[in-house]
Amino acid sequence: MADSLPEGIELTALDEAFRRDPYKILKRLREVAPVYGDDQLTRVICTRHDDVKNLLRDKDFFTDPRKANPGTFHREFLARGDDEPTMLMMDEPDHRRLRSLVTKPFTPAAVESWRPRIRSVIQRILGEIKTSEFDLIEHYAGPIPAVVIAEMLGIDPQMHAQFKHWSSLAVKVSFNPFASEKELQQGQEAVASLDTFFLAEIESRRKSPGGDLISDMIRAEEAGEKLTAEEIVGQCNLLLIAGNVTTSDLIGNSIKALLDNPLQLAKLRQSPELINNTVEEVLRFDSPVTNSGRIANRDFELDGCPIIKGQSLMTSLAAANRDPAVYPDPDKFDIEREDTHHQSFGGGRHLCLGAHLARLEAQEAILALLEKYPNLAHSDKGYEYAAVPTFRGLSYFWVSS
Amino acid sequence: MSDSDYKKYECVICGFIYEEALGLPDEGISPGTRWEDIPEDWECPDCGISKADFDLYEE
Repeated sequence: MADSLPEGIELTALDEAFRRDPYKILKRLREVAPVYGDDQLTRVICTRHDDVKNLLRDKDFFTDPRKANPGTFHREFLARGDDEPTMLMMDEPDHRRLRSLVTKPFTPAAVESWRPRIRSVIQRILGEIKTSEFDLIEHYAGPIPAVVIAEMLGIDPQMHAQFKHWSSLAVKVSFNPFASEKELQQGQEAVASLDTFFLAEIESRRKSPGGDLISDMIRAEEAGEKLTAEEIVGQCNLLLIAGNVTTSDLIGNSIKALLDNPLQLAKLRQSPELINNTVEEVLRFDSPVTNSGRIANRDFELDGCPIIKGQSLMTSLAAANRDPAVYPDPDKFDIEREDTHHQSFGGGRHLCLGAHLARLEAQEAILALLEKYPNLAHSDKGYEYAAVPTFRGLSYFWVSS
Repeated sequence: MSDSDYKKYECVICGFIYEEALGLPDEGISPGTRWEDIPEDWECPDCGISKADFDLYEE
């Protein structure tokens, strides 16, 4: 008799075995049931690369969780009652309107112009590490994205610590449908503090506009449309939430992949020009975001499996990225891999707005760390993966120099 | 019509740039193909978004 397949929470980072090795579990799912009806969390999980890619890019599927059928994962866990979702889960035409008003500062060229400033943020943070043994997440990967976003938003450096604190509390609850009561309350208070804070920042920028992102959003206009103050606050919160732990996880996962694969690390040290492909390979090999949802807007068939309108679909980016039908030797971490394309930033109109920024931060963070610590290694104090569904990253990762 | 007339179009979602001068030979779009001559159902090769979501790229 075949072993039964894992389901529900066992297919999320809440499960210890899944945290330890999600890829082994997803591989089995992809082989046995690539379109898998998870009755526990009421969603259909897709693990084949081509299915994932096509679902993400489908122009008609919904992301607004209110459009999912009652009882489905999206409706029960991701919808905030009947409240409008953030841009992340908004559908057309509202999504396009909001997205088009924030696109300019995040184009590859605009982000590239931030490289020198991001480099200096990283050097500052590196300079504060004074011990030979340290937790990479707390002292490096964690602070970098928060400070970068704070600088992009033009926040007073004296407020950075408070800003980071509110951010981490808000992030804890935003993507975790299984957060505790206490975490929920702390998160809500943090979001309220951030709302008040951002409204004040907007007012101050209206009086004296600058070259920062908040001023850009105030100035932004597309086809006669402008953002309201509430929408700007919403966007600031989303940037914070979507751009923090994800990027920290990318940095953490990169360093772990390199330390776990010494030959690859040596290759990168020897040829730092491989850094761009290295970051792409990490995104493929160990994506910080492991799944992305869609809601079927119609009845259809996927690989012979009937899907009904309103069904919750969950694409496993992690599984797609290691599909042997697409990648030779998919479980090998190879910084010179020719085809490192991945689904890690999603696809279609919701493709990650911060993709280029995340890449740039990771490229600079990895190189700066390796340059400062030529003997960087795992420390005996070890590491642990965070139990947050949808994300794959380390809650702590001790390294020695 | 000179080379300097060739324009560029940028995907508003992922930043992919279509250059008329270069075309996309891998997709059967020869160099010099004007934006308006690209089929309306063509999609961004990087993120899959439709042609309608591209903007003129001004350097």
